[in-house]
Amino acid sequence: MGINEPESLTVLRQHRLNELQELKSRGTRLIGYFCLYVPVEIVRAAGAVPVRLARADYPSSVAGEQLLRVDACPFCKSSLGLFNSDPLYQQLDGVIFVNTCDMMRRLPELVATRVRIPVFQLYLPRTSEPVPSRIAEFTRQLNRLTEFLSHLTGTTPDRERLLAAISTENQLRSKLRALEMLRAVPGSGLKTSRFFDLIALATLLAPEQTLTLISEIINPPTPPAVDECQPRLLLAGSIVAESDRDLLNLIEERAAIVADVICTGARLVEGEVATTAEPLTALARYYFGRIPCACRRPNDRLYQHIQQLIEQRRVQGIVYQTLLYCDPWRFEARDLRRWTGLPMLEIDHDYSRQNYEQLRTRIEAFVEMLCSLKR
Amino acid sequence: MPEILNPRERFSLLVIDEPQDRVPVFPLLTSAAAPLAGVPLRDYYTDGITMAKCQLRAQERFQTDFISIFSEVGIIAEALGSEYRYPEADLPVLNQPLWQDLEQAQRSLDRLQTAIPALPDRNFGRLGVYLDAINYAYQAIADRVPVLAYVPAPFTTAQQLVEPESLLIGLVENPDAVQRLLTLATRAVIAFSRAVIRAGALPILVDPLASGSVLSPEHYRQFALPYEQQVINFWHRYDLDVVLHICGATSGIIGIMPETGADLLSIDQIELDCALNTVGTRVRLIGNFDTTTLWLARPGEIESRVTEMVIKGKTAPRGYVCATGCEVPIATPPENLAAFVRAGKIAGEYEFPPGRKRSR
Amino acid sequence: MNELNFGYQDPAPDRITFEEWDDLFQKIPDQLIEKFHYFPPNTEAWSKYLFPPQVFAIYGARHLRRLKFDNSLAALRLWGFVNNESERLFRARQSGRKVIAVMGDLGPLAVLVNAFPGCVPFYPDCWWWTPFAMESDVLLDTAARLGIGEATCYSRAALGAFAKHSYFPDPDLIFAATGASCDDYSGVESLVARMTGNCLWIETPLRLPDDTEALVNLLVSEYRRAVSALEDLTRIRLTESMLAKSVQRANEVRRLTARLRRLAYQDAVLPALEMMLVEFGCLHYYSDISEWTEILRHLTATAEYRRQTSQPVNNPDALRLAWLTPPADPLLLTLIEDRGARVVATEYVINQALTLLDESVPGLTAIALSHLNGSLNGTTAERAALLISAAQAHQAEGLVISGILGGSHCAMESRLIAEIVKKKLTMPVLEFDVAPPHPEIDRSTRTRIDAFLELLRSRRCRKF
Repeated sequence: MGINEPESLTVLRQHRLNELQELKSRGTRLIGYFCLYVPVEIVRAAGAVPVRLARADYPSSVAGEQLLRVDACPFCKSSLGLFNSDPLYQQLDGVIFVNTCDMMRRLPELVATRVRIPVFQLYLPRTSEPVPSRIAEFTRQLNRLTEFLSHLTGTTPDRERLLAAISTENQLRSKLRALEMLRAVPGSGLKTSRFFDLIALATLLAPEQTLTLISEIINPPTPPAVDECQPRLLLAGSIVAESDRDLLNLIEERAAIVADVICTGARLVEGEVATTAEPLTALARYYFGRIPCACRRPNDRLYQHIQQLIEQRRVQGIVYQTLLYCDPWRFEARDLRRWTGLPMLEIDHDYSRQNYEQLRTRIEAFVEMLCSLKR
Repeated sequence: MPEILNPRERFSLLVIDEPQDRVPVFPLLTSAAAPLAGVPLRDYYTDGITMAKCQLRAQERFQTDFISIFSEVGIIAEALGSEYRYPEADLPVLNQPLWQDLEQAQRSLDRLQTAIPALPDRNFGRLGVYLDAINYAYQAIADRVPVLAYVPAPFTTAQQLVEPESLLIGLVENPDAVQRLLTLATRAVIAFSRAVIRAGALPILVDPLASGSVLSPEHYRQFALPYEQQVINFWHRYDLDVVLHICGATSGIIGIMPETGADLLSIDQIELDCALNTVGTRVRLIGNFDTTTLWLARPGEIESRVTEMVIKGKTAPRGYVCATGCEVPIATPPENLAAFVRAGKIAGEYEFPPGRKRSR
Repeated sequence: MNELNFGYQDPAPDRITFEEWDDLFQKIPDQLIEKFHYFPPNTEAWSKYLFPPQVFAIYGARHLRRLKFDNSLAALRLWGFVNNESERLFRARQSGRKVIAVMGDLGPLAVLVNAFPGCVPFYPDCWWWTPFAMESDVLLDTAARLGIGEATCYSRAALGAFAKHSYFPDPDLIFAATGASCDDYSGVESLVARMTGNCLWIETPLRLPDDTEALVNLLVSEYRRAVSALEDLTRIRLTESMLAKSVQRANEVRRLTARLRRLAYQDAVLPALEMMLVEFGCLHYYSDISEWTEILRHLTATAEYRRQTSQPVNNPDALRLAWLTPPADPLLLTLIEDRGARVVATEYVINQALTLLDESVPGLTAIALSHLNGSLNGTTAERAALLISAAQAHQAEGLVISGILGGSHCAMESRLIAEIVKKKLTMPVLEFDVAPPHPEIDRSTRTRIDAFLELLRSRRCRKF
């Protein structure tokens, strides 16, 4: 399979959607979740299928404005809208939310008022220092989640099932990390946009399906030649929805994205859950301690992580994209620019494609500027 | 790179004894703002909006720390009945004081006393000019730059109400009559200042005719200080930070000037060291660059002299404002003013916030 | 006669203009100006505060020229005290006190800080009014240069204030609470933390049903970190009795505030603007709890006297409004009273500062429990319920929601609250965003307010 052929991924996605429908008809529970702080291992161990809800588009965002103001986050608005229009969202047996940013933590209540789906609000401390009491509280939250899921599926995620799920997810993350590294290698032929597509697919497929898919990709046919002179960029900022590839495609027309800190990108696959401790405690530690989203406090580790990526991958510029009204990422832009000292292109968007051509011009100018710096 | 503090913030820190980023820079740029804007002087002191616009332009051009609303020291006397003429290219000139001598004054004092309104309206002489100027400048800039309105003190006002010679003789020969006159003048000054306060300006008390060039220290204590004190007490009722400006020679009275209650003393012809040593621990000092030098010297010389002055002034324990000793002369070249401000800012820089070095 | 007026006779209750206060101020005896000092028993000249709005207008608070004020001595005291808080914080430092910035939780942490002798807590959050009070973009522009620009809650002014070092002293310690609260302010805290390098993060948990005990435990351990930092700073060891005393003092403020709310909202004896200052006094007592408590007593005596003598300041029959989210522009409150309405219920996002602390449990537990009462920590439905119960208590006829464009919770909860309130109370709702600092209320908002009040009036007519 050609890794840069989005059509093949679309076909796979459609197969999986059909498969999910079938699974559901046979009694398997489908559990939607929004955020990378949701331990999918627990969902799997409870015998349910976790499905990441990371789609967004303009029409659904406008539909979401029936209950949200225009200045709400476009992703939240769109998510709300999709519960009324997307068949996958409508098939869900439960949805897990995490109180990351303020807008996201308020979404479950709105969903609950509009859609009759059980929702679970997972409380992750916003503060990121690993103080024992905070991790203890998060562990307690995972216990609550376990109960919620057991109740929904009739299967208790016991120690054995949890360990098995942890092992599978660790393996999956490890394989995806290898792919993630691959896209940083000039000439590998793996673009970040496709890497993001794979990640999106991986959060829909069964783990074994993803592993098979990856093994096909890691041994690709001869990759197309890549212009090694292209500027090497890091992509940072708000969530990049799986149906939103405009920006990535525009960038990749002229530059290579060699690293990212996006929650639907590389941040999803970093690290491993320890297999030596009690599973829930290990999960709590892992998820609590992930490279922080910009909304966590402090978020210094995010900055340090970005700095590391810049050095390791010889990044020359940053594209910093934020959704309109996404405060947690928007407010950090200036500090991050100063911290890294790199040229940074800031882009605000809302899925509307209104400024598509203008965006193209800005990206072209940015890339040109980077090229001239290089010379 | 914008400065950390704006003039309003800087002044607010100064008056509560907190460190600032640099000394405030305050050339007493009053009617000289008119020629800088190409406006005839008469328009400046008869039309408040014009006055404010000239001030705003000058502030914007030279980036000084205050707006100065002022025409000349006769403004209250004129409201009480002294006559002035308004030359097109000069400040108002006293044509005819209200009274020829003290005796005449004595006869009509009581009547006039009761006629002074507690809060005069805009038709009280040229108070309307002041109010228009204050309102305009206030709305334009008062969130960032303090608007100062110069209010002539009772003694200076009294000198404009009676033939000056008669008044000066009266100090010796008929002190009671002078005191009564000063009581009336004080009442008028307070009333005038109330209107200024309401309009949003910080009044500063100017008493140039009470300087050592005119009054002996004994006479200052007897005829100027108590009335300055009364005005300042009234302003302190409002918790205003009071500037007392006495231009001319003040060596003889500097030691007792703080008794007026003023929080900041604006001084002119006196060694800065002397003022610092005498009153530096009690009040904040404003001053005292020689205005003739400002007018006639070259920018380079002005810069070095201002630097010298500010380095000294910065040692003032209660704080210091880099200023001219008197009003900026009308013919002062703009490049000289710019040199004054530039040097004042550079030499006046403090470590800010304290404990943190600043990169230039 | 109001015995706390020290012989001064208040005029008949009225809302008066800036100029009218100047006239009235001439009648205030000098002894009264000398009488009131902050940081009692200190009597230094710098600590006087009974001054009229004119003074603060001269020092840049330009909006005061447009507001209307209650004409009582107690209200003058209130305004003087509130307006000179910046200076008071600098004086606190000069007089050897430790100045502690508490951010984000709006009330609870101040109780903890106040338990330490010589520590003065304050909320930089409250500087969000400064751009409006000064009709100025200075702080907002500064915040924008630092990374937080337009379409964000005006609380970003706090970031500007930190950068300016001239609105409050650089704090000895900063506690930044974050979590289930507002994102705009969490962003401000993030940048402040990076700028100052002097910040301790405190978790604000999400309020979940049936989890109180665990969340209290979490909060108590958060507070213990704050206690350690304060103990290190002050070299004073916190005892349970110090904490209990602080809880009692906070409760005294909260009791007085509750009483004033009843008096004002039931009997119309205090205006909405003064009441907003009173409610927000529960956050950090404008940096001096002792004097603030005295001011509240004075206001209460004034309000009680007015009630007993049937002298309301507003017409009790004025249209009764509930108000959600404090208006960043105080002129809005003046405007609605000028237009014949009055506020009878509020939900100003500070429920955690208004509810009484439990004096029967250990101090940290009491503070944690009050933290969990937060307006924003829980669901939108819970916040709506708070408003509904307040609105029902005083028969509100309409709800005003004053929001902020780009404010994270405004965007997410306003519509839902409006929907819930409309359904439950069948009451019209007016929702608008407060425009950036400006001398006047913008025409469109004025028109909408007028139309809304007209609608309420016509509903009244239909009822009779």
